[in-house]
Amino acid sequence: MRRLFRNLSSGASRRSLNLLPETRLLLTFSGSVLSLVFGDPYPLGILFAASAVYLLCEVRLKAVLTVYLIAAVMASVAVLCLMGIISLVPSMRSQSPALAVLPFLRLGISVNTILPLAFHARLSDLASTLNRIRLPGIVRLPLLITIRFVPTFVGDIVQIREAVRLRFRGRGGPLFWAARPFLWWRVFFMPLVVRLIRSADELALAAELKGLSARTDFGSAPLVWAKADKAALALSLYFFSQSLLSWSLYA
Amino acid sequence: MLEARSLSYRYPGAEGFALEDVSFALPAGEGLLVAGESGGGKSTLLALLAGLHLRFLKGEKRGEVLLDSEPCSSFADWAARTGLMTQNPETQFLAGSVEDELYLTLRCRGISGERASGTVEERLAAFGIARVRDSSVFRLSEGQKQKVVLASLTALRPRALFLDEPSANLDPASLDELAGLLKTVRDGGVSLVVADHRLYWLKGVCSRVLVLSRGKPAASGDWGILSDPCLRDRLGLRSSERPAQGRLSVAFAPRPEGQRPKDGRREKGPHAAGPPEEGGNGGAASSSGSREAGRGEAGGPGADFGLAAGKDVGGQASSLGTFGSDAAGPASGTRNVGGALSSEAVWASGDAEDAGYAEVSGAAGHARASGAAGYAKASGASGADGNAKASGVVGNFMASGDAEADGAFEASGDAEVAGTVGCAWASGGYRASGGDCNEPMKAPASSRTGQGGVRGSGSLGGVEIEDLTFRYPGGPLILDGFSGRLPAGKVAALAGPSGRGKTTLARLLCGLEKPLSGRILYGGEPARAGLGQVVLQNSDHQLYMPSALEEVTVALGGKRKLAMPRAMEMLESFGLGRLASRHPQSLSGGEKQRLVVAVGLARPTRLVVLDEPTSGLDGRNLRLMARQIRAVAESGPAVLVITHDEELVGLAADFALDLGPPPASSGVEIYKDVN
Repeated sequence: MRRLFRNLSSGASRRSLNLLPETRLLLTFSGSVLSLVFGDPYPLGILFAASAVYLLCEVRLKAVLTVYLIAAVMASVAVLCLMGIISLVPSMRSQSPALAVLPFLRLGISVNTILPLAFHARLSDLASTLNRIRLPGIVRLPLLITIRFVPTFVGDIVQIREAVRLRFRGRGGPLFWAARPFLWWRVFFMPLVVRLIRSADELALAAELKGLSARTDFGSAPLVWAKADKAALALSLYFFSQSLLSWSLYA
Repeated sequence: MLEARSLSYRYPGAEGFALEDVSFALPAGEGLLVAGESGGGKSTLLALLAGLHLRFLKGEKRGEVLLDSEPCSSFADWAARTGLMTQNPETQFLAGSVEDELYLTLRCRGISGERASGTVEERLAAFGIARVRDSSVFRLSEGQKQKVVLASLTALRPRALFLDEPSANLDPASLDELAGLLKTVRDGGVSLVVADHRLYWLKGVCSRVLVLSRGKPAASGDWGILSDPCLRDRLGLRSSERPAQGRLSVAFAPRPEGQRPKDGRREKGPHAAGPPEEGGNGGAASSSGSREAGRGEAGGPGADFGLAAGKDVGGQASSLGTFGSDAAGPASGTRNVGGALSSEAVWASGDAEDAGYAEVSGAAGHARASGAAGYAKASGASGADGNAKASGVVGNFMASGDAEADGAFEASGDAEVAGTVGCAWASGGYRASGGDCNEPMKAPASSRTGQGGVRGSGSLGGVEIEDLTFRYPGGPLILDGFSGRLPAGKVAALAGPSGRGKTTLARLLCGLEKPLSGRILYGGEPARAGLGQVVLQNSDHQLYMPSALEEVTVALGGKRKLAMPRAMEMLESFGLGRLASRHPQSLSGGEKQRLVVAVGLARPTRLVVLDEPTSGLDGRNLRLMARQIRAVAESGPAVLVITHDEELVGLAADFALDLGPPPASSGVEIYKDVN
């Protein structure tokens, strides 16, 4: 996990396609919208695979696998809860088991596209981009803060996990925690909530002290698309069309 | 000119004022040091000076703040004219990289792109951070983070600058650098207000001093007032002069055995020698002594009243402790040796503030002993049913069976005791003892009676570091053939510039990272998670129970009912007794820091690593922490303190390690003999 954060947030040595924030934003936005539009596993699978390749181009394999492992754990917990609910309320059983995969594919696509944006885009460039597309300040500011919050959130998780490992020296395996859900709640979830509240406050204070507000004008420098951006957009268009095609066929 | 007029503030829901009637006038181009004990109102004052009450603080504020005769009425306007650097500079970053952070700061204030870019270049060069311009702000060292924040604040040319504990995590070299930068800023006509516990580095920066105590001004004047030791002691301040440093060329210079530490605590351990000395009187109690490990002991069969035993400790006879004799009441010792004997005592405790030695002998039933630092003994006499417990605040022993014992101890009855490090011995009654050993051991109950001086065998191995090489994946070499030794029972201070790899070494020592080559041995055993204990810097992440008492109780482990009184004693020893029921997250930074250290020291371990344990602590708590660290070491484990705090090194460390300039090649360099 610590390596994950190091990989994600490492500076000059990090792997990056050096895309414009406009490109990253476009990929994130279109990926999210399309994942909502598509209601079948096949087109979503194509989108997920394409976005995973994009993520791999930006982040090291180990970090990607760790992210997926976390997502898989979350998905497993959700599936278990779902199974419990279905056993109690049989009428909630889905007609097609494949449909149960959809939320996780959507989550995966979002994660794949938002992580490169959050960790690689310069905030001032992003602010400038949002300014250029004439996004209202009331939308722009929360968007900026949300994207900025992702590294802080990951950093908090890393530190809490570290503290738990140290506190429970060598006893913190999956079986240990599976047998002690309440303790896990106490030692991991509660500090995370406290940290999130603190981090949100600190971020708000930092923004206020800097004078960042909905009215802040970041200007908009002329946009020059680089080759990498053009290639990335062309590739994403290709994958989007493939998804659409498969969606129409699948439907 | 920055002015505060009768400034008072009360937090929402609080009964009293956190800050009361503070006034001062600070001309432009001058520096004001705000000093005082932890929780004394320094951060509150800075928050008010920075205008945070207008937007974030919802309490009751009285008085006013003026800058160039203009009152603080609009937060946006005030924030544009002043700058605040909080204790943790990382929380002030908005952007992800250094250059972006500076650029964003300027753009947020409406400075055009071209002009902002020029200013960024100028600030990067002025603060010497141009080479890290593309680095992630999260990966910078503490000193670099502070420089980035200062660079961004000064780029806006504020009229007043407020800094909250800027020295908290800085090494001496970075402190000197920061002092130089602040002088430059001040000389540019900025009113500078710095709240800090470490004082000496601000000598040339702040000409004026304001000392706060419980929110009220306790002293004010020029720098000279800090030279009064009585004032510093009364108000819990640290030294105003830089601690002296020496230099040694030897590889390792531990404290000579048997030598008493500076603060007068006794030295204990297997090397002290001398005849046993008997002490005690009264009732039907008897005593027996031994001189094992330089400590005598006394215990006896049941009596109706108490007995305190005299000891010969480290060649110096200690006095009788207060003792109690109530059949069902507590007894406590308050001196080096506190002893109590009770036939039906519910509990007896020795509050041994110096030596950390306490003992109790219960003839039957439930006896418990607790020492403030490291050594406690409980013994049931012949025929006791074995429900005895001994605990040292610094516990390095575990016991199982009918008796529970922690600390250097004796337990009686049908007990099986497992000791990890330290000393235990037997005398009289039914005994079980763990001894000095590298491996946890189980000692079956002995049936010998009335004999003292049975001591475990073995020796404390300490920690050996052999040719350690390490780098993070894709990163530069951090350690290159590093070798060193951390002897058991000694306190080593690990120094070195910020970002040098001190925390990485701690992670390696505790088995949280695997070295590329080389090895770490705990008394011959390879390092693994569980053998060492690290107490991290950031306390927020490490506290999660609903109260401070629960936090330590859980850390102690074992039976809750038995652990809780001991947890309370630990809190008392860290000066947190009155806060036992408080939620840990509601404590102040310094209080949280002490609690986290108490939690970290609760469980038995062979190596204790403390990462900046005195960051944010005032002079009084610094000395308290130093005493606790010494007590931990004296109870057995090796202690490694990662710190930039030279005062702590002087008070607590036996020797200091320096990682040296990167890459480390030959390993340990001793630069200082604190003895």
